[in-house]
Amino acid sequence: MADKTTFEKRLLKEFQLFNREPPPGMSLDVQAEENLKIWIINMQGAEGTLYDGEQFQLQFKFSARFPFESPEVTFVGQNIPVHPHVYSNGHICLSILTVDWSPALSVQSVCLSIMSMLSSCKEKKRPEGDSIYVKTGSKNPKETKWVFHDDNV
Amino acid sequence: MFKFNMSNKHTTNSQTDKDLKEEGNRLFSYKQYEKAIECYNKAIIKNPVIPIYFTNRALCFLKLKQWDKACTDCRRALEMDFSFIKGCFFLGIALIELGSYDEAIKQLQRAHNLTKEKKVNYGDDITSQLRRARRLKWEKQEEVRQNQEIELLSYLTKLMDDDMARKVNEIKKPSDNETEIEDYDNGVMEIKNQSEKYAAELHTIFSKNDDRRKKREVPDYLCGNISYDILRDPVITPSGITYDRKDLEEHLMKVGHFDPVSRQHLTVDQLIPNLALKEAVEAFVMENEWVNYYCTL
Repeated sequence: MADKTTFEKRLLKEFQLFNREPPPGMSLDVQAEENLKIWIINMQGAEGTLYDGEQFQLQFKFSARFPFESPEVTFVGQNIPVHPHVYSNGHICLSILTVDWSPALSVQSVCLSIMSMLSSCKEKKRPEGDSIYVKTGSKNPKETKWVFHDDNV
Repeated sequence: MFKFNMSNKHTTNSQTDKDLKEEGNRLFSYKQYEKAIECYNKAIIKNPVIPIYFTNRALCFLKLKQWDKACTDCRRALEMDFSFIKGCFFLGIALIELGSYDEAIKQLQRAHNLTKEKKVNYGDDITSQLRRARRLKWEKQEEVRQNQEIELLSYLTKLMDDDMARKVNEIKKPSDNETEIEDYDNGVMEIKNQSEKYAAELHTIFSKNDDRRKKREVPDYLCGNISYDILRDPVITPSGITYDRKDLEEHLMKVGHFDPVSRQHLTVDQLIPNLALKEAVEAFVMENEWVNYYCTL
């Protein structure tokens, strides 16, 4: 009976915590595959924001180096939110997902950050250079060298 | 020459005990445990003072779940060589299966100490069996304790029932007078109500105790921000935040030199052991031994 690694224990705990008390407007799709390595989170656009009434799906992919490496977080599914920091392939430009990652961040806190990023949006539009990025950029958003020019959104 | 067909008797006669052991090992690797045992039997007859023949045979018995025989072989090997790691190790496993957890723990602990002394590497094999033995021992104790509680509860319930019957008997029996009958009925009712109240309270106390034990939850304030697990070696940062040393050091090495929560600059030499929290964790573990055996939450 091998002991669980930090990675497995923490993911299991996060999974249970999230399931027990999901943040408002979010729910966990319980078909987490491959030992909890991929999660799908259903997210509802918050009331009174530009995304009110919309449904999104966030995908979290965890590597074995989690939590010392950030999860790969992208929007997936039919509806990718139109937002200045979200590319049409689902990639999200958010510093905590790459250079500003900290192992003290949880799935829950990442979801809340993304939710507040959406909620504070003033105008629905794609980022500059979206079509070029989607055509030529890496498949893995973590391999993209992001430039975080706007910390307010 | 290796011959797979062991029923061929005339070949075995010419074999030395070492040849027989080799054949046994090979049969073992093909999972032919019964046939391997035959080889070790013959090897032992030819040379009965080699402990490894016994432990190899013991391993076959373990595979065949013949725990008693495995024990006997290990003990014989240990008689020949008191500090034979495999002997202690296999004996420990067999003893776990036989439910002799205390002796199993003793043997596995000895095996573990011997690996350190002799600087041999058994990986996690011995330690994981040791943990298993301790967990099973604890589970057995828990079961005993639980049964004792149930026994106590039913004993107390019976005492209360008897007491109620006694009190009812003590009330003066009514004559045909209507007021006396009414008094009697009221008296009986009062005793029964009181008794039911006590019984309910008793059950609440017992089930509270039971729930607390079954809950098996480590409070958040004893868990680290990185592993989400109980803080065995808590260290505090200049920001006043506590982490498990191992996790935080891994963070500083792999992620960067900052406090994961406050994001202030942080280096390893700034970490201070959080002794007060360590004591709190140790006290919690003493009271909640399951922490050592189960993935929490």
